[in-house]
Amino acid sequence: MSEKINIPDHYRRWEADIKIGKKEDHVTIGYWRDGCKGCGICVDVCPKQVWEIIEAKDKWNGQVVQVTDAAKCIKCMLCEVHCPDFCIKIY
Amino acid sequence: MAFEYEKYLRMDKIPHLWCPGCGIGVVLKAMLRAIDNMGWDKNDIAFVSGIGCTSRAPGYIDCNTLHTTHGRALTFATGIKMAKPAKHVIIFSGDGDATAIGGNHFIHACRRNIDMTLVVVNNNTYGMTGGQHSPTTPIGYKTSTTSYGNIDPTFDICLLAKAAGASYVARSTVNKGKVLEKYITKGLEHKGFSVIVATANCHTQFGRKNKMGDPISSRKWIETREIPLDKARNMKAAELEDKIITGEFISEEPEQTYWENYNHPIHEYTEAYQGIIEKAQKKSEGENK
Amino acid sequence: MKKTVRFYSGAELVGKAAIDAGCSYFGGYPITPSSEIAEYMSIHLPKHGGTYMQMEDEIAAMGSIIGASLTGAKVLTATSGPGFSLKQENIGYAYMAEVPCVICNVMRGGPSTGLPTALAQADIMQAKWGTHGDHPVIALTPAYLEEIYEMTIKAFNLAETYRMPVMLLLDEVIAHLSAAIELPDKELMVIKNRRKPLVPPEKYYPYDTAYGDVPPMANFFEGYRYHVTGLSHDKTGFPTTDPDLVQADQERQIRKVASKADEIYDYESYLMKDAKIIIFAYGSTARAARVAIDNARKLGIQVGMMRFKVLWPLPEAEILKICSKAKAIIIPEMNMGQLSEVIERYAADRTKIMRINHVGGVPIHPTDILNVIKEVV
Repeated sequence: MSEKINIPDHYRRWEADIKIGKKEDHVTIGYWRDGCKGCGICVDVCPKQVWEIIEAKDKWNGQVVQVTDAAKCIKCMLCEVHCPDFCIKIY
Repeated sequence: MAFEYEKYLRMDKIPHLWCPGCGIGVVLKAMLRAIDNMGWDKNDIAFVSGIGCTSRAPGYIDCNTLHTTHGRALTFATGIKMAKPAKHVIIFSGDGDATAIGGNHFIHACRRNIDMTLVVVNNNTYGMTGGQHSPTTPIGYKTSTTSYGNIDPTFDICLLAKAAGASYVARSTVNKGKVLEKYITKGLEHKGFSVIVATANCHTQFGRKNKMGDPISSRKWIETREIPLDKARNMKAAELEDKIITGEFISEEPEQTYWENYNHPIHEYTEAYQGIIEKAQKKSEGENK
Repeated sequence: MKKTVRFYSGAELVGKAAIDAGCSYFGGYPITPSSEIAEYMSIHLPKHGGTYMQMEDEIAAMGSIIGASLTGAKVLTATSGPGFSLKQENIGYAYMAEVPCVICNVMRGGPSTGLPTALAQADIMQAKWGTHGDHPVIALTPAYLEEIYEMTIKAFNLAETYRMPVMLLLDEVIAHLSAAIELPDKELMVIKNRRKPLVPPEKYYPYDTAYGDVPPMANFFEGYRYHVTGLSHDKTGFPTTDPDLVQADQERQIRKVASKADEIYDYESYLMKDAKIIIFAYGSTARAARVAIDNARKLGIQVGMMRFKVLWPLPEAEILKICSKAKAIIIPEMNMGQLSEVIERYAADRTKIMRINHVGGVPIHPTDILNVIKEVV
């Protein structure tokens, strides 16, 4: 399933087999670090704590985000919809 | 599945210039998804904006884009739509742009009911110029020009649009990107002038002066003030002070009461003008006989 | 050849010529003494499938014609003094974004509400310097009804050729003047259209100087998805603050008219051959000057006139030549000396400049000019 997903090369990716309710599924999370401004909205909107803020000395406000555990993702898409910077893709 | 925003963006211009966590990005994304829902050809869409933070949006969108003068976006858009009625015109504006300097154009665009869609990103302030108070800054809040608290009464952009004659009016917030997408899609589908207000966070300017200088607390502030329209109908005026009423203020439901339907436009303008052209040409033929 | 003699007012002729030039969009706002142009367009534009829009204010009228022009339409707006002031914001936009449009200003007395609806020629400098920043300028000043028709078409041709706003400056007298006139055959009029890109969209830049000082202009909705802004921009149309690019763009915009000034300027010489006293005039004032000259000639005074049909740009070399040989130059105008100041700079100390400035709203009488001619003699 994951082979079909065509995330642009500059996206970092995390993958995991997940369960949404009883349904088995697979998630691929794409994240574009260069575009990320570290606002932390994805961390805030995620109901499952998939995202966390980490330090990034190269960034204006000193922070970016990363995925803690892709397996927790329930594909609610809230982070993708609310990222103001086009940095998150959930497949 | 992830949405292919790249399809509609000028990727060489991204990342955009807005602050980290800015609500405009969320609204822009909702708009791009709405356009995709319509399945329109990018060549058939014109994006028009005025001046301010929101006005930079068209520069990122791979359509026919026009970044005009402060408050005047609707006038340029009117010219485009009237010259090419079959094409799609979308206007992206801010609260100051649409209701202060562009207030006159705003009410008259609503009144004419030309088939265009206006998205107003309301961040309660003038972000680009340093966070001065706007016509939507709530009473009591501080801005760089209301250090002692704002005393200017506010506009409710949706009620203003409705009273002026817009035929689809809705409001949601940046906390609800999917709802925004739904409303903008309905606005684009709607034949007539539609106004979608997206209440957004400007933590950098407005938030900073009001103890919510980060995007999360600014977004929370919006969330806690949100009241759905159906609930608001049964609430007292005092309870609704300082609240953001969300929902569809006008849609095309036939069961509306007189007051709900008050001032509802009787026709879409480009279609009505087509009637004028036919009348004039008929008269001209008569003269030439 | 079909000849038609009909009764027209100056205002109607602006409208008729605009439609004959291919104008398909008019955005306006009621203001005297220019309202008749809007009225004419509201009746006749839809007959040709065009659109007349009465906007909520002058600013909106100007904005809407720019929007329509970007889609490929030839556009016109008409206004008078106070409305012209309001339009300046978006006129500046049209210069910056290089959008062809024609702005007809039927001049009336000012400043502010001034003299509705009496004659003045007091907006000639506003036509040049009205909006903030530097830009090229083309302003036409017809004086006769037939000329209004020809010069309105010329205004559209210039706007399309040079991709910029062109000012058509009428004054109250010629706009309201009505007479039976014979119009030139429409089929014989030269109609120019904007240069469109020949390259495919992916190779198109809206301000590409590779094609000369006037870049080809793509219309909206024709596959060239480009960006238009009032910000200083580079050749791609996107904002830039690069000092070299901004400088080069400003210089090019000035140059696109300055380098073609000898093709753009237009004047009529009247009895200039042996003239020792020269009158510089434009618009309706030139009509009075012509009568004054005829009367002076009867008295044996060698006087002639250079009448500017295009006021900006001026024929500099010709003016300099006249300045160095004329005994005196008389400049009658319905303002406090707006053209006189310019000519005085050309003249330096080489000749005497005599001003006749009336701003009371009443036309300058030929006798007023004749008296000054006699004074010089």
